[in-house]
Amino acid sequence: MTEPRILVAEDDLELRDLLLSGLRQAGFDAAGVGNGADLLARTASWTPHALIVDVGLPDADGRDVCQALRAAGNPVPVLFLTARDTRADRLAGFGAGGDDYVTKPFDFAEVIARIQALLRRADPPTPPVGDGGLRLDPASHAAHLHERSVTLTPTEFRLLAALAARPGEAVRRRTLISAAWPEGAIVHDNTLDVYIARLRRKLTTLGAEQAITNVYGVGFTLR
Amino acid sequence: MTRRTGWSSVRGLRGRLLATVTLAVAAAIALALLAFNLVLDARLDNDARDLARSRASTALAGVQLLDGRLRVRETLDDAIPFDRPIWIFAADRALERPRAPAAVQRAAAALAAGTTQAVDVPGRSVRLLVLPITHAGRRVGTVVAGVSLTPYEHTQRTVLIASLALGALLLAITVLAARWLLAAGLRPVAQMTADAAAWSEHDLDRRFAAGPPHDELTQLAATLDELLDRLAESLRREQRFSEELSHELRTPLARLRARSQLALADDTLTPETRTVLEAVIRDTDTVTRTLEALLTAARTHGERDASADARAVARTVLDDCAALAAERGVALQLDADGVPARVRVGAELAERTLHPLVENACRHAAREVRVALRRDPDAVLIEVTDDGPGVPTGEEERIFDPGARSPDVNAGSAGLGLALARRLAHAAGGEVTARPGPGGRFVVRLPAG
Repeated sequence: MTEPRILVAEDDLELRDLLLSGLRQAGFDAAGVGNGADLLARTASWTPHALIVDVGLPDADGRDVCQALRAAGNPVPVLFLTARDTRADRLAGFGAGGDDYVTKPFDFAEVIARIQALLRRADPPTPPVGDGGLRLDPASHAAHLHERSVTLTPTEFRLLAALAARPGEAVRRRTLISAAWPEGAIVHDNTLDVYIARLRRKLTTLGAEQAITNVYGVGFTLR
Repeated sequence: MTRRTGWSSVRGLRGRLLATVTLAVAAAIALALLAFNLVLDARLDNDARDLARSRASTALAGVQLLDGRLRVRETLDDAIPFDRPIWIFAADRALERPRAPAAVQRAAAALAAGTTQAVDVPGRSVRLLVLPITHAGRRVGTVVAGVSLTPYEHTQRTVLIASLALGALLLAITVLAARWLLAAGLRPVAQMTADAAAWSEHDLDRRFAAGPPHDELTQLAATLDELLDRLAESLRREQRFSEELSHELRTPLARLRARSQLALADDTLTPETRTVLEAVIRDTDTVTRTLEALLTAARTHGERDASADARAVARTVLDDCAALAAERGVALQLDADGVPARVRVGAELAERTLHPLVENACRHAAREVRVALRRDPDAVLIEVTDDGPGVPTGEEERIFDPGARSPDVNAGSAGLGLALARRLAHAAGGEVTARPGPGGRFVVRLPAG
């Protein structure tokens, strides 16, 4: 049986090497990257069983990277490694599709135990399914479709990612708000509607086949 | 505390203003009364003189000069009423003499002989007025008319008493009105002072927002708003600084800890190296805890609606310290039975406040550390006692200075623990104090919720 593959995204080279050593000692096959773009590329090519992602990556917010992964249909377990420990930060990590989080400085035994727990619950990694070719770039907050692309604001990016993560499903307004706005932000229903309207225009510009439809009394669907 | 200062200074100002108004009004009333009574006296004096003069003139009509000698007409007795004393002297011999006390008689005789025009007889309330009788440029006799001053004096006294009463009434009304006006005028100031003090503690987003200043009150509101702005800004800066500091330190701390942990995985280590590495990990954890505590203090300033159960807090802290206590052979005890112990502080902040004290007690105790909860009217007291040497007398404050440490500690302590506990307690609107021995005694006071 092959060892589980763990991909570590951490920009501090020394800490990344230490993490890799620790993971290898614990019997994992570990590899490391230093930024969000490499993380997406490596995840696609190496199909790891779980990710350890530093929230503060140099080119993108680790949470946006996670949302991009989810939007691309990748359910790989994500453990956030964070130097921030406020409640708002922790909740934002979960809202972005993270599965667990550990604050720095961490205890190795704890990190490994959490990774093992995530692996037990997760399905074996599968190559991402096609979703109409929509790709989200967490570094530039852009959406790409074939050769065309549009720039999104961070909030639009997070909204679209949350919708794209569950194509064809009705995503609740609450879920969308907690994915796109920080914890405690006061978001009115019509604020969300305004953002959805903007996203619809941008999807049209992109020439996407999918459109955001209203599911009355529930939320929105991307199909 | 700030609130009280605000109130008392406003009340002090009110008192001073009221005293000034009272004194000014009292002086004005006193002057007016004095002037009024003086004018009245002068007027009454004139009246008495006129009356005496007219009586003397009437009496003069009853005097005849025959052959250079004065004679009193028989009709005089009819012309002069019985109770009006009239003397008629020829030179110094009395032709007519009413019944009167001896002192008055003497005074009348003295007037007839002298040149004085009028005299008040001392002690008799009688005024005597002289009207000389002249013939061919020579004074041949004298009429002396007496007027009783009693009714005038009576009037004077009545008017004086009445005017004093009126003045007092006027003063009382003025003082009451001024007090009411001052209170009404200064009430907004007192209210604003109290609001600003409360907001600065719990609600730094609130402002008076009274618009552009156009009078003293809106000016005050604008100034207070500005101060609150500055306070909020400096708090934000402190929070940002703590966040950045913590963020910057967490990655190196993570490296330090991870490196030590990885090194410990090597089975060939000597026990000495192993001890050193374990100590490094412990210290890393202490630094991390301190950092987190400072962050908590910075973040929770002005936090509202936080609440925790002090019993649960104490239990959590005792659990956290159980390992240290076991290592040192110290028993941990919690007395919290039946004490309602909700505190108006977040659980995290309360735990981080209590933790350094219990840890400190564990380091100093001989055998036992006791944590007891007590209830004050407006606070929950958490008392941490140990059976160690206790805080030396006179050191109860110094030990809270950052970096201060007890000379007899034989184990590592950051020296920041007690200072940190106090800082956190202050952030929670509470206090930490050391009490004299025997044994170590520390009391955390947290606002009851």
